[in-house]
Amino acid sequence: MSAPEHFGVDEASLAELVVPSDLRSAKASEDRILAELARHKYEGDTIFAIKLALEEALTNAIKHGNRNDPSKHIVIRFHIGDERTAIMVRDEGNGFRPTALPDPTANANLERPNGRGIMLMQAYMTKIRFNEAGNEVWMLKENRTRPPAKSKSRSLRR
Amino acid sequence: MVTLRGATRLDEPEELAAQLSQLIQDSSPHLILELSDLVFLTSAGIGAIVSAHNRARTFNGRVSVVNPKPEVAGLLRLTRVDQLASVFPTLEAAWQALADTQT
Repeated sequence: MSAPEHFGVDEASLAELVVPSDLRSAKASEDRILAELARHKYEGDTIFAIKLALEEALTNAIKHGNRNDPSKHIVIRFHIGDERTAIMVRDEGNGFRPTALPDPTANANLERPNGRGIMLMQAYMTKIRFNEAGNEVWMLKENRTRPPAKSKSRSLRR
Repeated sequence: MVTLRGATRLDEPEELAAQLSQLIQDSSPHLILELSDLVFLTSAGIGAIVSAHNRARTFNGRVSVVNPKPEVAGLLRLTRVDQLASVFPTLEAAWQALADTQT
């Protein structure tokens, strides 16, 4: 359950929520994360991307991972900083193989009502990574609109 | 015509898909979704639009989308659902396109 090393997130900075596997509890968790993003002054399009990926991950956890069983739980871990946000969603299911999913944008699959969630997560987040079982996903979003930290070196005065 | 506002909620898309399907069956095979006030859409909401397209096709109809916000338009483009439900900037353009297919 640790963050992938290349996500640049300190384990100690991660907050954790354990919520019942139902849509109302998931929404409450989402609202808490969105409030934190607003506090860090993330831009609207970045918040849109994170909200979308998070909702997709939570919906997958509830419907597919935990099979709509309200007695099961979802674990959410997250770090929201000025430069990046990392979120983990884990369910109690047996997992799946993300690489085995059909391409929802292929002509043959366009008229399928389902199957776009993972693709949207990959498209809108900077990085996503599933564990081997496929019941845990880490998602990273770099806050690219934030200006880089200023150098501490002193500039020469003319 | 159906106007969608706000955001499709986690628990809403199935209800939306059912309502759109009923509208197509009861009213008209041609469905226009006015999305200018829709600020957020997930894959399930997109799925509801796809289901509506599939339903409309069984009645030789079509689904049109009008004036989506840039983020929603981006979603429809990325998923290529804009190939199923044509996107128009105005209601008038959507009506004209429908009228053109009837002649």
